[in-house]
Amino acid sequence: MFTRRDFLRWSGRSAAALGLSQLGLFRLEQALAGEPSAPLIWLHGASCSGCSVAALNAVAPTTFAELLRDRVSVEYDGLLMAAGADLAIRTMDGAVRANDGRFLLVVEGGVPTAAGGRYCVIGARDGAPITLLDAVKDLGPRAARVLAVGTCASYGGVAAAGSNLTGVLPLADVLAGRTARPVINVPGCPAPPEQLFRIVIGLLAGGACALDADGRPATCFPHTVHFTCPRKHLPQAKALGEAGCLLELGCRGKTTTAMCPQHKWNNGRNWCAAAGHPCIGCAMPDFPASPLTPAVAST
Amino acid sequence: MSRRIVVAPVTRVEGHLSLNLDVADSGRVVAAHASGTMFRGFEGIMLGRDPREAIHLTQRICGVCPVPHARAAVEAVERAFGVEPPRNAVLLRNLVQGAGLVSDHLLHFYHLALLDYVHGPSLPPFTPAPAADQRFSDADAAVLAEHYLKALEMRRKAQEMAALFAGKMPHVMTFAPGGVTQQPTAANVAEFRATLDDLVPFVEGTYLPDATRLSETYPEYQEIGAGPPNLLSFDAFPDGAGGHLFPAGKCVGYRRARGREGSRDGERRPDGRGRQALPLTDADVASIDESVRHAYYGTVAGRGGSAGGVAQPDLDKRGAYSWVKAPRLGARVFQVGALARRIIGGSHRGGLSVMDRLLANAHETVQVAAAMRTWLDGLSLDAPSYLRVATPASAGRAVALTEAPRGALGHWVEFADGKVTGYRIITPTSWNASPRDDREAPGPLEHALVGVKVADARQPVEAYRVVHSFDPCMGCAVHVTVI
Repeated sequence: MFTRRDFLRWSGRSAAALGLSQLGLFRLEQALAGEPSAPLIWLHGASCSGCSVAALNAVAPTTFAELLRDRVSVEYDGLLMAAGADLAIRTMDGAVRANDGRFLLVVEGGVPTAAGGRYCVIGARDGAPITLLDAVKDLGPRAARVLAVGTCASYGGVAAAGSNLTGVLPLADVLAGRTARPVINVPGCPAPPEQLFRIVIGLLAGGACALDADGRPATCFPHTVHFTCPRKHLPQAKALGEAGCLLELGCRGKTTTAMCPQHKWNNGRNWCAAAGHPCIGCAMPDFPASPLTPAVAST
Repeated sequence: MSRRIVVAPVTRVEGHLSLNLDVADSGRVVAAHASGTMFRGFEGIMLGRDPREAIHLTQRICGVCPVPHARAAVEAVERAFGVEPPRNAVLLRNLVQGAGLVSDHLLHFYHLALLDYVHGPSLPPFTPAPAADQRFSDADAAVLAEHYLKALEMRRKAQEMAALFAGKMPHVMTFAPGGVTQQPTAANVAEFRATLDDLVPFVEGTYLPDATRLSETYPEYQEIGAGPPNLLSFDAFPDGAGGHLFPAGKCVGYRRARGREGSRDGERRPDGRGRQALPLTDADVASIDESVRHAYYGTVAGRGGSAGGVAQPDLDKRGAYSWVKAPRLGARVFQVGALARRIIGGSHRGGLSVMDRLLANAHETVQVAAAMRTWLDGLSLDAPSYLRVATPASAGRAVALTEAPRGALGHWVEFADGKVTGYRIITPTSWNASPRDDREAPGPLEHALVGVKVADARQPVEAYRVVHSFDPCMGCAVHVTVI
């Protein structure tokens, strides 16, 4: 079993990778030595659960299992928790009461606001439906920090595309003025697990998590895809799959703020442009913009 | 007399599901209603867009099973364009879809279903847990908890295999009309093979034995949760020479073979299908219809044979209780999934039950893992995997059918002037978790829950076992039919 002691050793090794200063690392060690695991509540809204799947795919800076065993106490997560129905909801209620002001709230998926939120019902309390809208309005103000995980929660994403008849709003808009500290956006379709867990670990270490104008942690999303793309100096590719720059095929890398060329996907196995396909801008507020890859659609 | 239990939410499923169970004094379920409780309003997203964008957008219906959506979407568009992908592309798509299936079945058994039978590690989110009916010894439970963690790693590796040819997972980037944009190389093929070599011993030596042991430990669940005796499968995993790993077929009124109980070896007919399976005809596919009688939609959906017919949501509709529509073939209720595939493919002659479903998934994972080696061997590093489509058709219509891990999946597309005019998707969980239809016939999940005896109404773990055996994917089931 992976123990807390192992985690300390591992954090020491990875301090630089996590972007932690020595002070940050010291705080982390203090927190680990004295405090129980930080409570976390993960709600699914108008989502595809792809961000959950991506989180389960994480390897660095931590696997999900390591995080679970040593750092975070996942009190509610509809995809993974053993309890169901009434027991699940009572567990969430109990965790919120016991950790008022101290828990992390993660919301995956958009928040439907039309018809009083009735387009997304996440459970029932005493037989009465609980909408996601009710839940985030209730829990958001009581959380230590709130994370919008994925492009849908951050900006509306696919859930808000087209006519958006369910009135999906970004989480930060739903919670505007209701939280002491701003909602942290972790965009991407799915949210890159490397970024998500870097942010979570940073928060646990007491980091302030400064945000940019689009609500992203500035240190995690410093550049466009194009800026760090290893293909940008290659000749233009004439067809998908060719080993060149994909700009003329509609690549959105120049206008998409994300670090995919650095962290890549799936434990560094591959990423979009390396696999011969232009960036579709999945981490941006306007995703899924039409056309997805402008030059391809215009042919 | 019966009383109603509200089970909301059902956890350990993708998306949002709740149940209303009418339970008699004896504790037996006498009626069940399954509700999809989230609607995303996909209507209008695809309309007016380039049909090729369906490859990316329809995957966002489900992050757990994006690959079959990507594949159905790209094949529908290729058919409409009159484009034949190169053999490499067919095999690469098989490899991505196969790795996705392995990943998904592992997630289902260990992370979604198993906690109905055994307690996980003693920390949240594994505690609190339903207290009822734990039969494994503490030592065996500890071993299964270790396997739970090991399976997290194994399913992650299967996703990494898929990403080698998909660009990333979830949400495939490389499927495009004309092929797969990721060319196979000596390096990525070797990496895929090495990871598969890690995976196969776990699937054969741990997953299948664990599923078998679970079935033996809970033998009454070899009878519980049958559902309707009609089974449906589309064909999937083409071999590039006209054959498929999973043949299409249907079976109406399936009966378990007598004698040789427990035998998993079926008898195949000369056409490769199981003894009781019938071919699936174009007329069958055209007869697929979706009832919205008990779904929150106003207008009636179109037939499965076409892509048209936008259903408008109606939250206050009388008699409606789910966002899932009720697909029916020839007005009959069908169940879909690995068990249906194995009966139609002639490799299962046991019953229909919770354990038959869990075991079918496990046997199928072994089968697909083995097939991946064949597909890998069939790749040609010198041949292209993508051929540019020089002049895409500006108008057309097509259908593409495949199998997702949870069962039969169909995409229907229509477009004109290069813009989508209709897009219809019918997913496996729409079949399995459908509400009652025009004839008041319950969906398969609702059907399978009737007769289940619930010991503790507040923690109806017996009902969870039935539900989880279908591995519902509510993200897929709802908000997809027309986008």
